[in-house]
Amino acid sequence: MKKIFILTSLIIMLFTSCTKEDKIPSNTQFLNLGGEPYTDSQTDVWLYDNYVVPYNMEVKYKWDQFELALNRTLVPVYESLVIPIMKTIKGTWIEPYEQVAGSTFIKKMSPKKFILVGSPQYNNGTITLGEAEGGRKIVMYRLNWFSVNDITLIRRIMKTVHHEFGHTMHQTVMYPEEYMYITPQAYTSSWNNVSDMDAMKLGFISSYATASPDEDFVEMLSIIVVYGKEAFDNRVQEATRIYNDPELNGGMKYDPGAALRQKEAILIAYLKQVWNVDLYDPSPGVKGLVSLVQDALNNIEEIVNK
Amino acid sequence: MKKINIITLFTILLFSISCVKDQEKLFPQDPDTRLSEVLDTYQKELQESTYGWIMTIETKVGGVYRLWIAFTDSYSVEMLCDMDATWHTKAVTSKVVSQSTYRLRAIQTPVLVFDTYNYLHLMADPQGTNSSYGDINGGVNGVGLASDFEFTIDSLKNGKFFLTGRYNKVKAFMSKATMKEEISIKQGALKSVHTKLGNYLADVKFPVLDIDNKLYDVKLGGRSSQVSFMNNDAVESVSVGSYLDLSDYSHDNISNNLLLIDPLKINNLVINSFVFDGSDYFVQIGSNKYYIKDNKKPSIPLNLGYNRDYTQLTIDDSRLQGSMSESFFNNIYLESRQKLFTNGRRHMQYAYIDFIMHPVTYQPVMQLSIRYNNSSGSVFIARWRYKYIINEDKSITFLEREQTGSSNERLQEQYLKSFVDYFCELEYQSYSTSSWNNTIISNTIPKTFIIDWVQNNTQGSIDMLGAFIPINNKNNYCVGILAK
Repeated sequence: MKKIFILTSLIIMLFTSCTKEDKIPSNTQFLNLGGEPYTDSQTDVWLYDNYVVPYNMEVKYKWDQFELALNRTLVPVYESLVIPIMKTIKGTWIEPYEQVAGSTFIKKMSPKKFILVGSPQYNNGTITLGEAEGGRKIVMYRLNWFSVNDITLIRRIMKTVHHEFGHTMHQTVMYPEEYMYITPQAYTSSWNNVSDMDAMKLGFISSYATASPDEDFVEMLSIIVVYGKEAFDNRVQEATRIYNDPELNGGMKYDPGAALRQKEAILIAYLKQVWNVDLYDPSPGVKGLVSLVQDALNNIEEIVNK
Repeated sequence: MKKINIITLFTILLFSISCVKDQEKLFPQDPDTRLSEVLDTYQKELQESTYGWIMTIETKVGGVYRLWIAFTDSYSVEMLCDMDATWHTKAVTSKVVSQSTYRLRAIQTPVLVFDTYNYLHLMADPQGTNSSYGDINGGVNGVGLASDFEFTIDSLKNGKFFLTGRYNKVKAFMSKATMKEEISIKQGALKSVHTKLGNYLADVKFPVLDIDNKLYDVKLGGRSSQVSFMNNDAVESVSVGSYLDLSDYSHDNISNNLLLIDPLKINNLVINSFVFDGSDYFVQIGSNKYYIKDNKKPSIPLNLGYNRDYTQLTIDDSRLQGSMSESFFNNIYLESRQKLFTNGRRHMQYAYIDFIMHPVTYQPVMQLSIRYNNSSGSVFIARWRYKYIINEDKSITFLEREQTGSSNERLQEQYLKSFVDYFCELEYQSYSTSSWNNTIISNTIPKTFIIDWVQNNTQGSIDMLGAFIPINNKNNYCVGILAK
């Protein structure tokens, strides 16, 4: 009897209890839902036609603090430099890959967001010139320095782009494991204390390459592509010369030149087998990736002024 | 049992009817609608100023900067600024209007963002000094002048926007420019007001205010101003951000009113601005006007000594023409030069005095260095160190003197003796040209000086001058150029 009473009471309570009606107001306006309104400038139109439509890549040159480190002093890029910079990137990165790997390759693989920043990012004593997040976003700094006549700077910028794109490739399909065992002892987290010369003696293409096998792999790719085969060959020869010179050798355990050649061979095979990309010219008269990028860098003024 | 049932029933009924279903809104509309309305108001206000806006922004490092900003449509702005900085197209940033973009955003509060690079970004650029790129703003690398280009709009009052930077939290405000202001700004007035003040200060080198027989040194500046004065034997300074008024600007006027971000408070005095009456600056305190006058030298005492504001004094006749005392120049300086010349045509170039730490005793000492060259042009420096005490009346007494160990002073002292003796005189029982340690001193005559500013009478010179003034022969003072 008591149970029934309580049960009945609870049922009554359930039915009569609070029935607040909270309607969503019909006239609610969410600010900038679907993006901020903007009148497209000439720059915006160019970016839409050249990056958004063909590659679905977003190029952000207008200031958005939330794309960047929140604790650093940074400034936006000069708008007038945006098109020259993006023409350079298109001519020396996208187009060479399209030629060697087909038009869909970049569309499938490329990072989807480029963030352009005018100043360098100052750290404790060093500056950052480029950063990538998970192969989807590339941030490039110090672009207000960009000048079509400064090929040294352009190579540095393009090395960053090729470097980050290298990560995207090997994160999609890993390079052969044997690459990690060519110079396994030399990888170090304190790569910034390794001089370029020491890196060479250990069989690396740069100091940063000693950071990890992944960095090593993409440094090989980006430096060979941006600085050319000749520069790489010179480094290999120099490394071997030091190894063979008893006065300079100083207890080196292996020939660093040979190590560099081994890495190069794996890189060539990886690019060809996985992505059908020829690093070097496959046959006389047919250009590989390196030649195409070098040609573009040598004609950079023409590409930018086009 | 029945009692419990009734209580339960009552409680349940109470619960059932307790719910209040009406909702009273604090604001008639939801936050998004309200924010959107505010942004629309701001947008309209920004664009409606016919002659643009003048932004006054106080950076954290470099004081106040001013910009002219015209919001031409909902996204574009035009700018001019009050300095000429490194700019990629090498435009004159105070005269060539540059275009960029801005937007009003709702980031919880209304925010004004200048989202592509323009003159306002020059102050915020972290590349303060860069040898290969050029100095953008002269600030520290990584920080710049600690300025902002993203602002929270705090309020819009009487047609004036009050802003706070989102990153460095700098304060800024924008007021509407008049037609007259826009015309003069487009001719470069933002920067030329600074030039005008600079010209005024070239004539009035040491501006002071004399308020009720107390002197206040005033450092007038187009970015910040400072007042220094004596407060119970100690120097006190008060600084505030300042900027030059453009409302009464004309091409011909000498200078303009100097306005302050906050009033300058000195004890019970309050200075609101430095008003320019066409030829002079004055401050209005109560009903009294106090004019700024040129004191020819600072009114606060010269702080020269070890680890002080100034630590060096250079005595160089070629840079001090007309400012040296005749007596010192003829009897000490020139005499030493002539005597040294008799020793193989050695030429005394100049001398300098440093207050340094003694390398052995770790006591502060005064070091006199005399620089000379031989006939073939090689340069030598002879150095003497003087031990000193500061007396109660702030005068300085040089008690002892020693050579610093090189053959330069051992061999040349006899020719330079009047200069070296000027600060502390020695008589020798025997003098050794091979070692200072072998020299035997028979008598030491300490000398006492007052250290003070001296008026700079050298044409074209803007150096700050100080002097050692002998207490017993005040006309025989030794003047030098002060350095830190």
